[in-house]
Amino acid sequence: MLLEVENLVVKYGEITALSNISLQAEEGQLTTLIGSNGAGKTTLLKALSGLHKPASGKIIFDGKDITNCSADQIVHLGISHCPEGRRVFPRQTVHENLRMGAFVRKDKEVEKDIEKYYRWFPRLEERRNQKAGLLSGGEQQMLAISRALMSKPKLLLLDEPSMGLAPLVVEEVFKIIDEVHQEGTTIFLVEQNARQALKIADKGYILEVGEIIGHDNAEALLNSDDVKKAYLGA
Amino acid sequence: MKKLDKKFVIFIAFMVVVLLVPFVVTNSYMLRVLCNVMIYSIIALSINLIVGYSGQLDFGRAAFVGLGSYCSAILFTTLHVPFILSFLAGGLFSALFGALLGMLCRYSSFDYLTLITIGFSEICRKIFQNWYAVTNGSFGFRTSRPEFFGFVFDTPASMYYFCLVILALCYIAIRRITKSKYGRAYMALRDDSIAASYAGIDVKKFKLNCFVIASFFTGIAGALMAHFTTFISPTVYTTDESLLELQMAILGGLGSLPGSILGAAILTIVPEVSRAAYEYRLLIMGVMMVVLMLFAPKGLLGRGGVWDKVVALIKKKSSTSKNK
Repeated sequence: MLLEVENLVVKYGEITALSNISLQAEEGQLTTLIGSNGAGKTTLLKALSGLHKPASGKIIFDGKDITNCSADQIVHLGISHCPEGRRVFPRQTVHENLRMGAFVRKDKEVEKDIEKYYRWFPRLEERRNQKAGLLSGGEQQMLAISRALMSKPKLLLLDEPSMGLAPLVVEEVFKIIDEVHQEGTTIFLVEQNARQALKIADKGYILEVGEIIGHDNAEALLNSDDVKKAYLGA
Repeated sequence: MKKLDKKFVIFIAFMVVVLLVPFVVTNSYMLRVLCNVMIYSIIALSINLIVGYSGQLDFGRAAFVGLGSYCSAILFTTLHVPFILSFLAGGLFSALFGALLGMLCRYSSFDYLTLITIGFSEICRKIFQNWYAVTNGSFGFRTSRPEFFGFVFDTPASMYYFCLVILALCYIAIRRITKSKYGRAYMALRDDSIAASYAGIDVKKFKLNCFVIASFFTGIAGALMAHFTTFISPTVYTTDESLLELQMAILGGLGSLPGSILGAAILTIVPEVSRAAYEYRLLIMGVMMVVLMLFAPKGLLGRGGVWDKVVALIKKKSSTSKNK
C-alpha cells in the first residue's frame, strides 16, 4: 500500500469535518474519492498534504508515518498536491511555474522533464513565456497538473481538476489524467464530477458529510443503483 | 537578440555617464547629494527584496541601517580594525539582528513582522541614544573616511567612486538573488503561500532567509553612510527615516530593481532642490506621494506602473497611426 489512512479525524476548531476516515491507495492505481459539496473532500487532501493537522488518526505513506510532517517535508517525501482552483503563480511565466514545481529536485534533468510536458501539452509550450495568470482555465489546469508532476512524485493528489471548466475542457483534462495514470503515476483524485472520475479510476470511495459510506472498484460503483441515484443523476 | 543589444548599449551609455560625472560635476555639494542617492539606493534595494519580492511589510529598516553604521564606525574609528573587515562586519551585524528578529517571527507568525520591526527600530534608537559608553549617546561621534592599504577616500570624487562600486556590487548581488531559485521562491510565496508550500517551499524559512539577506545589504548601506557622512548620531535612525526609505522602494516600483534606484534618487534630490521652499518640503513630498498612489499605485518602474503605461500608450499610438 502506498498510502494508508487510519481512523483520521479532522476538526476546524470545535467542528468535526472528517470523522474516522480510513482508506487506502495502492501503488500504480488511480483511486478516486467522490462526494458532493461540503462532504470534506478538500479537507481530507489538506490533511494528506500537511496543510491542516488532523486531530487524531494516522497517515502512513510509503511505510512512513507522515501525520505530523509539514507541507514542504511531505513534498520532499514524494506527495505532490495539485490544489483546488489551480493556484498557478500568476506573475511568473509558464516556464517559471514548471521550474517552481521542480523546486525540491536536485538533479539536472529538470529542463528535460519540462520539455516532456511541453510535448504532452503543446499549448503550454506556445505560451511558455507568458504570465500564467493570463492563461485560460483549462490551460491553467494543464499547467497545475504538470507543475505538480515536475517534483516527480510517488503519489499525485488531484483536487477537483474539473472545477470551473467548460464541459469540453473537462473531457480533455480527464483524458490527460488518464494518460498520466497510464504512464505509471499513482493518483488520488478527489472529484465532484463522479461519472468522469469513476470512468478512469480503478477504485472509488464515497464521502458523505465527513464519513466514508462505501467503497468498491470503480466499475461496480458506476453500475450501483445507489451511486447512480445520488451522484450520477440517472 | 536585437532587443538585448539595445538594452546593452543603453546600459553601457548609462555606465559611461555615471563614471564621467565627477569629471564634469566638480561642485562637491552635488557629488555629496549623488553619494546620498547611491547609499539610499542600496537601502531601497534591500527593502525591495523584503517588500517587493517576499511580500512582507517592514517599517523599521532604519534600525538596521543604524546597526550597520554603529558597528562599522565603532570597529573602524574607535577600535582601529582594518576598514574592509569593519565594513563587512557592519553588514553581518545587521544580518545577525535580522536573523534574531526573523526567528521571533518564525515562531510566532510573519503577520506580525510589521509591528515587530516598528518596535525594534524604537528599541534600537533608544539604545543608540542612551548607551553612552559605546555610542556616545545623542552627541554622536565623528567617524573616519574609508581607507584601503593607506589610501584614504577623502575627496568627494573618490567617495563618489567608492559609493558607486559598493552600489554596483550590491545591485549585482541582489539581482542575482532575485533571478535565482531563491528569488523565484520568494515571489512564489508572495503570490500564493499555499501553492508555494505545495511546491515544497518551507514558507517561513524562506521568509526568514530573505529578511536576513536583505538586512545584510541594509547594514552595508549603513556602514557606507557612517563613513561617508563622517558623523553618526541617533537622530538619523528614526521611524520617519524608515518610512522615507520604504517610500523610495514603493515610489520606484516594488519588484523593480532599477525602480528602487530611481525612487531613492527622486526622494533624495527633490528635498535638496526644494531647499529654497524649506517650509513646504514635506507638503511637496506628501502631494507627490498622494498623486502617485492615486494614479500609479504600482510605482514608476514596477509592473503595470507609470513606465509600463507610457510604453503601452506609445505602442498603441504607433500601431493606430500605422493602420491609418
